Amino acid sequence: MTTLMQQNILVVLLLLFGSSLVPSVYYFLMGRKAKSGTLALTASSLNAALSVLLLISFWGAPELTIQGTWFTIANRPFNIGFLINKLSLSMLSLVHVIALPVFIYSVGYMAKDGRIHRYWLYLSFFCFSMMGLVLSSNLLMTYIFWEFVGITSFLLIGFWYKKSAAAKASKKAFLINRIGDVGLLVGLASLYSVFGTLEIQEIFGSSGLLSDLQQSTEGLPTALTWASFGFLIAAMAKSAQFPLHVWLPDAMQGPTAVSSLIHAATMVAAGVFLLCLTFPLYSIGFLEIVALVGTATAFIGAYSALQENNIKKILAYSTVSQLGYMVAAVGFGAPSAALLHLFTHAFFKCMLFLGAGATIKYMNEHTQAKDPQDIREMGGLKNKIPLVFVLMVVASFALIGLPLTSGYLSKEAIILSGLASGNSLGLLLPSLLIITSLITAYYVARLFFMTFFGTSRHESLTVPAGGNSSLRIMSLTPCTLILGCLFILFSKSPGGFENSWVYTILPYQSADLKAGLSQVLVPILMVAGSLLILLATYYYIVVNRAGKVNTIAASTFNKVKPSGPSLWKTLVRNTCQAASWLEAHLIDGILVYGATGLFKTAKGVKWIETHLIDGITRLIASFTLIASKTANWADIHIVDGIVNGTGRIAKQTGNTFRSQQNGKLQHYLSLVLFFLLFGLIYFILKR
Amino acid sequence: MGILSLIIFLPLLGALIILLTPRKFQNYYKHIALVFTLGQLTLGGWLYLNFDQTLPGINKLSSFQWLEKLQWIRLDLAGLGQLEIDYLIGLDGLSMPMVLLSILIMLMATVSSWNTRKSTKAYFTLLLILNTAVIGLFSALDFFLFYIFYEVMLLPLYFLIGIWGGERREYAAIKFFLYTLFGSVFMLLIIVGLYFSVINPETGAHTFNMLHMMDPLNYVEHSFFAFYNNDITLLGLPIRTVGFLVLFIAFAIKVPTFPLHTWLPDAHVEAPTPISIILAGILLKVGGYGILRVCYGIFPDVIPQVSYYIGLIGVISILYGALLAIAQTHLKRMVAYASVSHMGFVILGIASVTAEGISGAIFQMVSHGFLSAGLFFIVGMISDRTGDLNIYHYRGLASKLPRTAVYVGLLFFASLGMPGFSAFIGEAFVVIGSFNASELDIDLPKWMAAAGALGILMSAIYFLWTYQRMYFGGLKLKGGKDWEMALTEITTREQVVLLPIIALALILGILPGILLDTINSSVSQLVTYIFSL
Repeated sequence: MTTLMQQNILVVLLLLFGSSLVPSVYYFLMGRKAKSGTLALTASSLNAALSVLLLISFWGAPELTIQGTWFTIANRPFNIGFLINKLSLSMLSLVHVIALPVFIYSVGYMAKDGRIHRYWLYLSFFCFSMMGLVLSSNLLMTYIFWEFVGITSFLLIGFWYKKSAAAKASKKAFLINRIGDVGLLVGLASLYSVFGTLEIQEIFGSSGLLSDLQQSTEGLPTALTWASFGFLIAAMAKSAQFPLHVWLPDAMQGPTAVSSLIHAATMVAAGVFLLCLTFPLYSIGFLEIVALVGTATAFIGAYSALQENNIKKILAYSTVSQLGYMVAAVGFGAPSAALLHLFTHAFFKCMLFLGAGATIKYMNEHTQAKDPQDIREMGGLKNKIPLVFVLMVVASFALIGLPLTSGYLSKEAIILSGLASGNSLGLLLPSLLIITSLITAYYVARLFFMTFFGTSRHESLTVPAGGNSSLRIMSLTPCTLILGCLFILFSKSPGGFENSWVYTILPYQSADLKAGLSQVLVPILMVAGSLLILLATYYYIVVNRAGKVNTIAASTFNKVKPSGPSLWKTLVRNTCQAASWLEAHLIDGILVYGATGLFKTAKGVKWIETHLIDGITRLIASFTLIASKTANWADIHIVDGIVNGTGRIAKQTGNTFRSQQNGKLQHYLSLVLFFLLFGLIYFILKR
Repeated sequence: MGILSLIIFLPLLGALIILLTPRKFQNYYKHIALVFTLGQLTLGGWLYLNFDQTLPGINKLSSFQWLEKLQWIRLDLAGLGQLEIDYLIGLDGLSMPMVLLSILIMLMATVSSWNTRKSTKAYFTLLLILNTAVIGLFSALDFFLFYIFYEVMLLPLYFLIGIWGGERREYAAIKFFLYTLFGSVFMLLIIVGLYFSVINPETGAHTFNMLHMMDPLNYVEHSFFAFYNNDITLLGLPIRTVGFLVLFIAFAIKVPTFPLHTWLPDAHVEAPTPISIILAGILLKVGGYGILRVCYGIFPDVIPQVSYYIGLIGVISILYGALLAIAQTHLKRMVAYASVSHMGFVILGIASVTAEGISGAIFQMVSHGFLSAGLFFIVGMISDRTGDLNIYHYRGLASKLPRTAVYVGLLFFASLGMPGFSAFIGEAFVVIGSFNASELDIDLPKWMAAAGALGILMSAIYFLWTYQRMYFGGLKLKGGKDWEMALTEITTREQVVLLPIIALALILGILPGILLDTINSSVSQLVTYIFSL
């Protein structure tokens, strides 16, 4: 099989691209006539199978570039090419493996939509673009597919374009992504001006032009700085980094399945992918900026999530925050950790979104909730949609980073490399990341407990038979991703991220982690803190809301079946009592007030977010508008005014000279003669 | 008569036939025009298929293709020597795409003139004369011939805007006319100056031959535009710089660049749709072509001194045009200012004097040629139906006209530089080339390249804004029920025009080699030639 794949790599690539492009073309041409998603689903399954096979067969194989000349400008060829290596193939598999359940899920989620053909068109085209982005062997192609994923994202966010909020959100997303596109273009143009090529391997390869340049004693050209900043801006826009993150929460106007695939798992990670790809370019000083951007994003994203009540927006801010972790990891000089988090995050965040989508669907169809996305309207859903509940438990634990989950693995990797990196800000950034992970525990717990625990706030409606079939698809398909939430898919030991296969993908040496005390203490601190917060939140939300503050221990105790072994019973009883004491004295006293305080600050942060950060965006927008209006005024009154003024002067002059134009032929003739003479004299003198 | 002459004068024959056809057959004028343009397209296609892409052209007469040389005017001027004007035409990689583009745009304009009612005889005659002038202009290699075609082009356009235009047509027509005339009058002075400075090495007579003007050895010593040891100054500037600038201004008016652009929105708004298509599709390209062929060809030594300013003008045009486009509420004005912005890329690319930048500029010219034609056609479709072009008077058209929305969406996205469409290649390579320039010691700072890239962002703003404003949301029209009745879905004839445009944009976007291979050796030759001096 392996050799078969390797020998027929061209055929395989053709199949891969074809099976995404064919559905796109089919759904485009058929229009409304194409209702079933069978073709898209088949293609997606084929893609998933092929990409995984490809990954396995090429895992140990040397890197391969397949390319042909696309066009030539002045002896310099620009290629269409594909880079087959661990990085591209693992990204490819990730995209398709996550896309498959999303495609199946969409069958249920989009069941009754009238424009479903468009949906399949866009989604298939997205897979095509993402594939091109990760496989491309030169930056020009990367740029092209980078824009393609941007436009499919735009189309899908604005899928329900009649809703003006969706139309606005799609516009915002597109324009901010365009800022990133400009950054990428500037970046690649600068690299081209230095190296005269855009081939990724030729520039960034281990003995490529860049390393030659870095080893030479001459100073590095300024164009490399331009390139660094260009790529960073590109990554910031695509991967929603502060302050260009404002588009992502709004992007939740799109269908939830789309949010899970594009705005959580794959496309938004493209920025991180780009940073990993171009990692050798960045100087140490520049990486500190990257780390700062990432950490700030992680922190601000988590903080913003605290204040949200919309389930999708909480998850969106969480995505922003987690992307911040990845970018910070790159900044810490640990692109492998970033990549690991990219992979693990893709799985659990996709699952969270799919679960949220199922929950929203349930709220929409089975209750009379005014806003089916508001977690305040939810509650007690764990008995109504138990499968979704299980899904969300696993995925939430991974997001918080509890041991045994994949999230623990990657988050630990990032924070430990942060501690090990010689960042000039010292421990500030890693500490901020640790605090952020505690905040994460809180907002996840809040979302989780508000949604699934407590009493339901709405009566369940009976739904006609068969009405549940789409909900069943929607709660079953995400289960396929559960494996990705556990450590086992990525590493043999629950804490050994350095032995993970993901760490072998990138050829760069990752920073040496000191086997110090922090290696042991920090994870313990994080896990203990997270657990404490989980517990506290449980009491604060579930119990406080129920109005049974002091009887909680008893009620919890009563739920434990008395048939259990007596030692277990005592243990539970003691734990519950301890918890009760904790709750009464500590949690109420400190954590609850702390949480309230946190809430209040979060409000402040939200104010800053809406008025300052987003405000700046709006300010720039209105400034552009004002500038354009001013330019327009200037154009009409000044530039054109001068023109018309010249016309008027010409008219005046014309009036003055009109006396010459008296219609007498002899007059004209004498004038012509005069000028002819004048000319002749000039030339005679000149000779 | 060679095939190139045939292509040039075929429309003239058509015009003659239309003139001689009695008025009672006036419904067939358009068919005659169409047949002749189609014939021209066939010949043009044949030319393109048989075009040898390896021959560079530019300053080597022997490597031009379909070269035709006739002694046209020979006049003994006694003491002033012999007046030598040739009918000299030929194609190289620079002119071939322009000729083909012109034919295509002319065809498009003819088809979109189908519903013209007002004095069709004059209309189609003028259209065909314009056609001859344009193709002649792109093929002419004798400066005098070039100038004649340049001027002939002006008159039909003046009448086409001034007679078939909108309410303020006369103002717009005269403005357009005066602007272009302003440029060309001074151009004539330079032509005469060059004539007296250059000598045909074979005959020893003064010559208008542009290729002779490109060889420094042909300049008479101490003549007005002498290449070497020339210390004549005018207004404190070396005379060759003045020559460059005057020609540049003449062509910059055509492009148009800031601050010489104000004729464009007026001309576009008043011109009927087919004429807008010709204006945007061909006329503006005359400017870019002229700068490359004439300014760069004849005054290559001046380029290092002026590249900064040309780049600056390009960048200002890009950003200023984009800002103006954002501010417009009138759809046609928006598209017109978008043209200014997009043509700014051409200027920026030309200023970079790199193969990448100039290739990008030519690519952008071709791509903008048919894309802007398509945009004006769409504008025409709306104004045909309701007569109102205020962007804010429409909302939610997508639900009423889903098919039209797809066409408009595709064209808008193609125009804002989406990859896969032609404009992307043009703009991307202009930016790449202008970044490259500073590494090659050309006076074009990096911030200009970056500012050009910013223009790509801004074009997204106005196109997206307009699209979202007019096509998204719930249906709401200012004209109420009347408009709802009038706004019918795109017709077959309209699709016949738009589909090839989108197809062409896609083909060139996916296979840019089709065009780049054609121009490659000429562009390389031009760059080498400039740097060799």
